[in-house]
Amino acid sequence: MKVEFNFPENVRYPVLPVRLDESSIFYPLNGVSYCTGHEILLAVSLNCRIKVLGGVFIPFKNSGYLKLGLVRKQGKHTIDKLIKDTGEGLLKEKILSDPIFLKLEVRYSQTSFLKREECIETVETLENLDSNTSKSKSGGSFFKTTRKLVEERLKYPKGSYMNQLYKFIANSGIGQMARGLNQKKVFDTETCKTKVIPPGELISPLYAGWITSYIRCTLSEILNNQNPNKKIFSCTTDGFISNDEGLEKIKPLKSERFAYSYYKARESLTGVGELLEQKHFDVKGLIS
Amino acid sequence: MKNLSKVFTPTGVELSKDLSHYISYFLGSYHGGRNESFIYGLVQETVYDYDLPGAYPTAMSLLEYPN
Repeated sequence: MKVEFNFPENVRYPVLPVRLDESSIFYPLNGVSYCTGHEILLAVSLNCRIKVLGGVFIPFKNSGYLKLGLVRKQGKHTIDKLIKDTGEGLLKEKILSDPIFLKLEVRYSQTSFLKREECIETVETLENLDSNTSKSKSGGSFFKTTRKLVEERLKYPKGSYMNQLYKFIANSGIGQMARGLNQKKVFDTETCKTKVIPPGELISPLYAGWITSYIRCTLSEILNNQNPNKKIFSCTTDGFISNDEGLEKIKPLKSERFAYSYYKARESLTGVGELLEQKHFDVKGLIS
Repeated sequence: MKNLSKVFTPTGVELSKDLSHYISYFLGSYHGGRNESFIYGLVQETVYDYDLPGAYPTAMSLLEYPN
């Protein structure tokens, strides 16, 4: 999606990425962002004002889970079309009663973009997250493979060769989906020249975008829900450094959409619900 | 926005109008992880390093098939 956004000034960690150049993204309070449905949902929950400038909707099978759709506007309204397109028998009343949908609807109607021929609307499906995780057990396209790799990894002590090997294999999945997408340059030791990484055969901007945005949102949601009296010094992809102790014990609330779904997903994969783990601590401090 | 033709069609094959329109959103919406420093300088207190266990595989396990 391409959106114009404006977060309230009291939001400590805005969540919509804006690309500065090919290698840098930052998260301003306002601007124009190319982002995914995940990020729109999180932004709306932080009371962000959003204008949707464009986008595309890809339906997923069995996806009660956080489906955020974009439907090309045709004629008077698209709700009926949405129900038809999703093919999941969603009830109009259910959609209309969803607070997020109502917020978006109100905001869109205040913009001029609805007048454009290819105006876009955003809608989220509404099934609760409990049923989503149970669906992912049986229907998730990568669930069985991922669970197998996680199970194998957990058989070996943390830090051991085999543990690291299975971690590497599991992470290679997303690595191959994203390979070549950002046209990164690397130093080739054979030719001693810098060259662009070519796309792999498994390249998929749809999957890669979905996965990375989900993790960004989970992390950003956790950051925004932290005690404002504590400090967060930095974050790195899937973790952060804070002076707050004991966060590995927190159990997310259902209202914390991403953190809760992540917690349940870990429960499905490993049998134990977990959100954060403490890698280490340092009493001396750090240079940030 | 990145140049799609370099990513998907290194030999110069052009994408059709509709596909190039839609796929630009996928590619534009793909970003890496969030890496940011919020506080700069020397920190002289106890700090704790947290992370999401198995982040990307966990997210991947939630993916469904496109319909």
